[in-house]
Amino acid sequence: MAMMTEPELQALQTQAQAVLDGLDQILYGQEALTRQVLTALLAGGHVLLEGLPGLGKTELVKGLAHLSGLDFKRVQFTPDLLPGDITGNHILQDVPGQGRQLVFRKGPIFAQIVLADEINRASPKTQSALLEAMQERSVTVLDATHRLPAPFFVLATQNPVELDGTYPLPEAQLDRFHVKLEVTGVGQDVLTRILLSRPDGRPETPAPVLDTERLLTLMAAVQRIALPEAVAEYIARLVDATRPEVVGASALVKDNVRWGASPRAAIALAGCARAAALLAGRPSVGFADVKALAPAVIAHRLIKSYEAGLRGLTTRDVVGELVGAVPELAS
Amino acid sequence: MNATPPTSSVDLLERRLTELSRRKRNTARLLVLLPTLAVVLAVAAAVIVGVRLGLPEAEDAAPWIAGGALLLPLLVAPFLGRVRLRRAQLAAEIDTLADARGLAMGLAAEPAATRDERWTSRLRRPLEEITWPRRDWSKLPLVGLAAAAVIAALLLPQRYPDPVVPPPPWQAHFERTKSRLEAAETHGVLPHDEAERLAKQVERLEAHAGKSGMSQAAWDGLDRVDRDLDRAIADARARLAEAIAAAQTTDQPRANDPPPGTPGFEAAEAERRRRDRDRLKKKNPETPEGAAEQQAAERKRLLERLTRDREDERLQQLAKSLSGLAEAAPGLLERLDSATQEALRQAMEQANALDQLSPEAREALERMLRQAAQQAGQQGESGQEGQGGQQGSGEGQQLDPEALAKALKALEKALEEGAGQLGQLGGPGGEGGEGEGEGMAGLQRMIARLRAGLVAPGAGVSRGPGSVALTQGAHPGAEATPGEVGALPPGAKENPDGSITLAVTSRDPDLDPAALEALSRGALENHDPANADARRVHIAPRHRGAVSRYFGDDD
Repeated sequence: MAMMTEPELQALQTQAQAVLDGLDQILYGQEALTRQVLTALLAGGHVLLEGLPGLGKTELVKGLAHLSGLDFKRVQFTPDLLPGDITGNHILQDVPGQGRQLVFRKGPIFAQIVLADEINRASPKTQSALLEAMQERSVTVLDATHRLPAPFFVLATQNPVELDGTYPLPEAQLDRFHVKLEVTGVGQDVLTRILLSRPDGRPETPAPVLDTERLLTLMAAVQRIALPEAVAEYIARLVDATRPEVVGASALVKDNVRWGASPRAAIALAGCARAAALLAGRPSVGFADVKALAPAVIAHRLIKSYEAGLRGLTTRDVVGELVGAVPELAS
Repeated sequence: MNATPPTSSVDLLERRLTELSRRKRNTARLLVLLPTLAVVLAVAAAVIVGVRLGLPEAEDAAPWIAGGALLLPLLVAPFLGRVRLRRAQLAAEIDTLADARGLAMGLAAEPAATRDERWTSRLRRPLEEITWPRRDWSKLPLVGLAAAAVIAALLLPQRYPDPVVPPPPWQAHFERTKSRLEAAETHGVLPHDEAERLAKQVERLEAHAGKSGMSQAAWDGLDRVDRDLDRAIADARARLAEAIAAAQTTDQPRANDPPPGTPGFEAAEAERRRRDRDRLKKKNPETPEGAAEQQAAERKRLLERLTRDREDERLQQLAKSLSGLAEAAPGLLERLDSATQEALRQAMEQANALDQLSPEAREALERMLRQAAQQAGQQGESGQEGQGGQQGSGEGQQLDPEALAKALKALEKALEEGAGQLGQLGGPGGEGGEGEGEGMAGLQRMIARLRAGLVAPGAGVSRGPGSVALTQGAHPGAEATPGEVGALPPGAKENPDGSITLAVTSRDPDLDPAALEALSRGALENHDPANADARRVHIAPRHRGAVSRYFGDDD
C-alpha cells in the first residue's frame, strides 16, 4: 500500500485534531488521556477506563460521542443486570394482521458508542454478554444474529476501589479492550479553571466535528499508515518478551508474569501505533509510538504471578521495564 | 498519492543507507580484526621468543613470522566482516540516527521513484545533520600491546645452545673403578661395608674432580681405591686357592702310606676303618651321664681321632681356609647346595670343637653357617629335598667319612665356579680379557703350589701338610715371575702371633706416596703401609708341632 501524501494526511489529522481539541475542552488537564482514547477509537478498539469516581470518565465518553457524531447509549452496570438487558429481548407483540409474534427488541448495545459504566459491578454472566459484541460486532439472541452498527465502540469504566460486590473482569474480556487507561486526578490550576468556567460543574455539550462517514474514513486512513518492518519486528519482540514460557525470557518476566500477552495484543499495539502516527501527522509508525502505547495496550493483558503481587509490582511496571530492555533493532 | 520523480533528497536517503551499510561492515570488520590481530601478534611474539631462545636454526624466520602475523589478519579482514544487513534494519537505524520518528523507515520501504517529495524534503535536513556513531576502537590498545611484544621479541638476542662438552678424560678412570667395585660386590669377593666405603670415597673424589679438576690428590685417592680393590681381590683369590687346594687334597694318600693294592695298605686301611667305626659308633643315649661329662667324652674322642688321623689335620686346614674365605669373600660360599653345606657345617663344628680357630675365624665361620642354614631352610621350603640321608645327621653326630668326601667334591666344584667369577674381576694390574686370563692362570699356579705343599713329594718322614722345600731366596717357586705376588702353601709361614703369611712378593713394597709424604712431614706417625705383611720374615715350619706331638708323652 502506497504511503499517504502529506496533504492527505494533514487533512485527516486536522479532523482528528478537532476531536482532540473538543475533548480537551470537555476534560481539562487530561490531554494525554484524551489522545490515547481517540487513538484507540481510530484503531477500532474498545477502551477500559479505570479511575476513582468523579474524575470525568463518563463525561469523557459522552463528549467523545457528541464530538464524533455517533449514536451513544449508556448502560449502568449493576449486580442485578441481566444479559438481555444489554443485548435485547424477544417480546410478544401484536402485529396488525399477523397476530401476536415474538419480536426482538434491541438492547442498549445497539449503538455506535456504548458506555458500560462501572462494568465490574455486573455479574460475570452479564459481562460475558459483551464478549461477542466487542469482538464480532454482532449479537446472537436465540437463533438470530444481529449486526451491530459500524463503527462500534465500547468504552467501559470501572472503579479500582469499593471492590465489595464487584466482579473482576475475566481475562477474555480484558483482552478485548484495546487499551486500559488510568484516569488520574488533575492539578490545582486545572481544578481552579473548572470551578471558574463551569458553575454547574457540567461541561457544555460540544457540537459534533465528525460524523459516521468521516470517522470511518479516518479509521480507514489509519490502516494506510505505514508500519515499517523494523517496527513490526520490534512489536513482535516486545510482545514475545512478556511470555515467561519462551526460551530466553528475562528473569523479570519469569519471576513476575504467569501468562503473557496474546497475538491480539500485538495487533492492537500496531493499530494504536498507526493511529498515534496519524494523530501526529506522520505517514509511518516510529519506535516512539510503540513505546508510548505499549503499557496501555499490553499491561492489562498480562496475568502477574503471586510473587509479583507480594512485591507490589504491577503489570504496567513490568511492561515499562520491558520497553526499556527490548532493543529497537534486532541484533 | 502524488508520485514524484527521484530528487536529491531521495538520493540522500539512499546515500545515507549505503553509507550506513558501509560503516556497519567496517565496524563489523573492525570488531573482528582488532582482537584477531592482537591474538595473532601475541602468538607470533611467543613463537619468536621461542625461536630466539631455543631454535637458532629458525633465526632468519623470525622477521617473516612477525610480518606474516601482521599481514594475515589484514588480508582476511575483508572476509571477516561479512554481515548481511537488511534494508529494513538499515532504515530503522537511519531513522533512529536522524530522529525521523518512522518517516525514514516508511520512505525507505517504498521504491525511490514513488516516494512523495514533500515527505522526502521533510527528511532532508535530519539526514544531512545525521551524526554517525563512533567506531569502537577499544581493542586498539591490545593490538598495540601485542605489536610491542612482537617488537620486543624481535629485539631479543638470539640464543645459541652451548656446545656439547665431552666428558673429561679422567671420567673413564672413575667409571672403570666404579664398575670394578660393583662387580666385586656383586660376586661377593668384597664385604658390603668395605665396598660401600670405597664407593663413597670414589663419589667424593669424582665430585671433587668435577668441581675443581683432577688434581694430584684426586689421582692419588683414586689409585688408593684401586689398590684397596686389588688387594681385596688378591686376598679373596688367595683364600679361594687355599680352600680349593685343601678340598682337593683332603683324600690324597699320605707320603708314608703304603701304596694302594699292597698288603700293608690293605691292613692299614682295614685298621683305619675299624677305628673309624669304633669312633663313629653312637653312644648309648640311655647311659646316665651328665651333659658335661658327655661333652668331655666326645671332646676326648675327637682329640684322639684328630691326633691320629691326617684327615683331622686337613679338616682343620680346610676349616681355617673356608673361614678365611668366608671372611674375605662372603658371597662365594653361598653357591653350595644344602647337603654340602650341612656336611661342611658338621665339619666346621668338629673343627671348632678343637678350639683351634681364632675368634675372627670363628665369627666368620658362624656367619657363613647362619647363611648356609638360612639357605638350606629356603631350599627345604621350596621342596628341593632328597638329601635326607646326609642331612639326617643330628646334633652331635660325627661326620661320616664318605659324606665328608662327597661334600668336599661338591665344595671343590663350587669353589672352582667361584674361582671363575673371581677371575672375571681381573687381578692387580690386569685389565680386560687379558687380565682375566692372567688372573685365572695365577690362581691355578697358586693352587698347584698349595697342592704341592699339601701332598708329600716322596717317601720318608712326613713333615705335615705345611711341608715345603725351604729355600733361602725370596722367590717362592719356579712359576712365580719377578714383581708378582706369589701365594705360599697353607701354613708355610706361621707367624708367632698366630697369623699365617699367605703370599710374598719379590718386588718393592707398594707404598702410598701421599702417606710417605705425610710421614716425611711427621703428620702420620702411626701410618702402617698397606703391604707390611709382605715384609714379615718369620718362618715357623708347620711340622714342628707334628714332631713334638709324635714324641709326646700322651701317645
